[in-house]
Amino acid sequence: MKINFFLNHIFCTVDTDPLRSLADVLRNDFNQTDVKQGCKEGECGACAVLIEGVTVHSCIYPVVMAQDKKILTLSGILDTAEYQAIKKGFSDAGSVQCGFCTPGIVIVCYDMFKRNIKPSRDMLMEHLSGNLCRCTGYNSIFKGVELAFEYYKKNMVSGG
Amino acid sequence: MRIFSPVTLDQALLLRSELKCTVLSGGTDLMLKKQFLLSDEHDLLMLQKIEELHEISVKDGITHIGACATQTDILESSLLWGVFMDVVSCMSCPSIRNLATIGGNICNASPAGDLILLMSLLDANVVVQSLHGRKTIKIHDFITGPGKTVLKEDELLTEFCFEDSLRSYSYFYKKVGTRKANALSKLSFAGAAKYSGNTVSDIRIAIGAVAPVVVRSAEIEKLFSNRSRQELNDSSYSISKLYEKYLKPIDDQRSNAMYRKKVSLNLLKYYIERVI
Amino acid sequence: MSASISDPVLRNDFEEKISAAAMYVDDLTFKNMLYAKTVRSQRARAKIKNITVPYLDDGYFTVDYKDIPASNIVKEILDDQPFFANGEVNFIGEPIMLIVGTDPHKVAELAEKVVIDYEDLTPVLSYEDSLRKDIIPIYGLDNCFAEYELCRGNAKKAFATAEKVVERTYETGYQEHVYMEPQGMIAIYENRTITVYGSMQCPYYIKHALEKAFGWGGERIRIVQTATGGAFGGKEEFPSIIAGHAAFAAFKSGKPVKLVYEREEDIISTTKRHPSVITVKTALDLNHKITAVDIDIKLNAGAYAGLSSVVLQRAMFCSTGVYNFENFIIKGKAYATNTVPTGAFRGFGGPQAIFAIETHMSTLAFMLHQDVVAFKSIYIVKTGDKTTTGGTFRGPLKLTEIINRVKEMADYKKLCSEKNSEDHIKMGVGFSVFLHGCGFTGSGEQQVIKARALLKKNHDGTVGIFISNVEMGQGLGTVMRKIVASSLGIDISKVIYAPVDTDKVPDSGPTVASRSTMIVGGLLVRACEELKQRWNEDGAVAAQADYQQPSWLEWDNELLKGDAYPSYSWGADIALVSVNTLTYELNIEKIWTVMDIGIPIDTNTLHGQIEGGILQGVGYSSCEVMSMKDGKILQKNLTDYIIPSSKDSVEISLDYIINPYENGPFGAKGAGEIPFLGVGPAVAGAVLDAVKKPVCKLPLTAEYLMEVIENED
Repeated sequence: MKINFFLNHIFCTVDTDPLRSLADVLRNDFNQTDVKQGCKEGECGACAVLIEGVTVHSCIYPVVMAQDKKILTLSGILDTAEYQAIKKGFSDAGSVQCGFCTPGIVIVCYDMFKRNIKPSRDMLMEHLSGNLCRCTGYNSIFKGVELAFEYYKKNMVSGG
Repeated sequence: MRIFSPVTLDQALLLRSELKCTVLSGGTDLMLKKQFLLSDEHDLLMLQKIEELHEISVKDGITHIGACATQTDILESSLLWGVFMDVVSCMSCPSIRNLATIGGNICNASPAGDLILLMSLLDANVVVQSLHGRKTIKIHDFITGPGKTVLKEDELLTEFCFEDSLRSYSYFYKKVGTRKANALSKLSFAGAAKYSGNTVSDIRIAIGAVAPVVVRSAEIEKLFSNRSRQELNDSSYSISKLYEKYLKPIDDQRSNAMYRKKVSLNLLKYYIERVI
Repeated sequence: MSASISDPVLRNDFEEKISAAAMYVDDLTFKNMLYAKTVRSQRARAKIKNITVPYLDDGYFTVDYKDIPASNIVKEILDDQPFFANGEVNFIGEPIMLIVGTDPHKVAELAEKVVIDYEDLTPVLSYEDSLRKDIIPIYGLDNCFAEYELCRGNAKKAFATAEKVVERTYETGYQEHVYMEPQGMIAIYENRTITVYGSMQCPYYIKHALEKAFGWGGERIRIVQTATGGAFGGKEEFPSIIAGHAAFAAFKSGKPVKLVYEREEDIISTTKRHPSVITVKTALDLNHKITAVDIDIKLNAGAYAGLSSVVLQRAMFCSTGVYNFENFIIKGKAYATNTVPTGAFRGFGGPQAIFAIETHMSTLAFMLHQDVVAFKSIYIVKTGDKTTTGGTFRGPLKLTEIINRVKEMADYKKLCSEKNSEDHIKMGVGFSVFLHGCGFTGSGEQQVIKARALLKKNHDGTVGIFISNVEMGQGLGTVMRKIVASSLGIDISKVIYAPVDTDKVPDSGPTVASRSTMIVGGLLVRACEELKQRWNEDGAVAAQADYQQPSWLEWDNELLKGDAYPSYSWGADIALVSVNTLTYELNIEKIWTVMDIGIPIDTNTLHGQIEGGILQGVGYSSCEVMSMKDGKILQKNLTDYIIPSSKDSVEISLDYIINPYENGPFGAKGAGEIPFLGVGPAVAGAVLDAVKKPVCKLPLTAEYLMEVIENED
């Protein structure tokens, strides 16, 4: 089946089994290696992408549901203020170790910032509950997002 | 396998009556069980484009939740009340909630289905439609066993309805999962009570994941409604004894029968003695 | 110099990881690459009578033991494990063959269609089974991979004359690493050379394993580490197997072959933490003083020996914890069962042993109505005391300082008196104090590894670090660059940590045993000294340093006598927990921890190791349940094998004391494993305090706590 969608602002078409997972299609047909696969059962969140601005685990999302939709992966948000703030926050807090869970976490945080959800500790614990990390113990990720949100807000205020 | 994505309910019902098809709602469960649920002989019917199936509304004192309303839709709806937030916020995680639907949860008919427990507590009606017309089935009659519903191959579950006045009840909900987030239930307990002064005029209790279907007993509830709080408190032991025979939990990779039974009864006693 | 070295710097790999540019093995593709899928045993123990392979189109083929050029044995310690089963299988999940071809989905479908006719054999599924004479042993005559005994003084006499003997048995379960990146390799056969790219901790282990399997010299085997998404010991010895499989397929086809495991497959078939049963018996005199300890350790090694003998040794060597007991007997055994082979995992036998002794000491304090910290402090080792193997705790040891600091951080007295148990929520406070021997157990460093580190100064003044130790998230690249930059007095931006490629880096040993910073970092310091002297030479300059065992370190590997480790890291934890007596659920509210790891080379890196290690310990103590039924793992995906999510994170308050180790770079010792060790017993001690009943099993599931709490005894 032919399925069309926008991938990081670029129009794409794929002709494939409609029930292939979106993660599988993005990685193998479009070389989007910024979408990681840790479990293929929707548990670890490494495959998180944004579909029409909503965070979704792409490994359990059938590609047919992506028809005519706008998809953003990490490489599609690298030039945004949200990403830059997250990058700075994570850098300061030491939020990255092995890096495998990082793309999924950045996507979720980008979504939170876009919705202006202030990352209190409780909010963060809730919003990141679908992203498993085995290296950091999460505390440095929380710190990183909290710092990032401050940078993000400052940036917005200063109009940068 | 052909894929159909109708934009109206009528189109969907027509397809459902003419073809053998598997229904795709949120897809979160289907994608994990593809090899069991799909075959080349079945077509796929996608419901995403049918707007009315996503709606949540209140009309004439009845709340309607469309079968394709996602858990996020439910969490964020201003028309629903506290216990909905309590139940949904204990389910999976935000990203999965963005996709997973209430219709999918009910049709999956898992003994541990969290929204099944809630619908059961609210005595919800399941609206089922086909080309032949519209049927209203009580949730307790809709699910007949683990993974089993009475939904026929030419029918679609379109919405859930229950009385909006139930929002005035006081609710208690506790899910015991394998961890704090994104966890399947080992067991779950929900209680709802309506007060009239010191009298509990209506009491409802539902227990999940301890039997093939949700444990809910109108007979026991009737025995103990219209009692004072103190009377109920004093009867907590006999109430728990009455429920005990309905509890038929199993051992599985998540927990064991003894634990599920003991904790259910602990929560029941706690609810009657401390919460009400 | 040491004070400023600890200040955090940005990781060298931060940029590529935050932007998802880092390439993990499954992100790589090569021209004409094929995909492989492993066909695995469905039986715990059986003879293979027949294998029926479905029809294979052109371009699809099988790979099995017959395709291995020289030796179907995975080089380890006992050399008992085959790459592919040959005629018999010994655990569910054991690899039998590969299906290889161009389309990965088709390859997976074909692998499902392979039919294997088994003749079932009676499996050994428990320790009791392993002793039975009516079941054919899996290994040797008695299913014993390793058995040792250590003694000091006259424990027998002390027990005979004891006023009271307290004996309890402690159990710990399996633990799965759940590195977020599943195991994977890509192998290429080109120009008579096998190159393997993949996720790994020990490139030279793989290289040597393939040299033996192929029967080739080292110049024909090249191993290249790709970005590694977590390891924790799970990618220490196991990767030799998956690398071998990919390599045999590449050799057979002449094409690159990618072999990446599905998560469920990874959980079922790769190594796990050894489940343990440890009985601790203590003799007490009239004054309630411990006069002797008798410890019996049983580790379930699974179907093949792997590294079990060394895990057992480490468990035994630290089984008396941080205590100096005048008399002891320590016995240990690693036995075979028809289950997945167990192996390396952060702590490597230490967590099991420390759980047993620390929980036992907490239980004794409880039984004797004494404060647990005061009780444990009576027996704590001091500088100059002997280790379990007759070595010496060279110091200075700063345990008192560590314990005082953690008590201060937690406001211990107030915490204990003010913990408020209400209604059905019972609060408890627990305390553990623990150690971890840094470096390889015994004489492995000198006799087996013989590490070499290499530095190269380039024309442009940059310096390259060439070592085989890998970055797997822990921050090794950062730590090594800082050590070199500080030693040479140059800016860290001029120091490059070279990609780990066995064609380009010498064997500086595996990334295990908390040895990388201490041993290899130490080699780099020495290489820097040479490089500094030769700095102004023309052209490029290379300097290397080879491992030299400290002159004071003596170890007899036969008698297990002497200094098992060159140094030790130390720690103390306080845990605050609550137990819900309606649901029996355990909630770990907060953990305070103080460590002595020498000095931190980078505080962000150290914090990362402590917080990450502690949460893995939290999982080990609470939600990570892996049970076996008839040799089959019941929790084989991430839905059922539960690791802590962000909602299960724990507030952690941490500190470290400065206690430079003279043989460590800038005074640093090992920090990767020690944070894990204290959590289990601190949490168990807190549960004991909360419910006033001793616990002796990990994980502390709600189901187990229900048994404990509702038990009338």
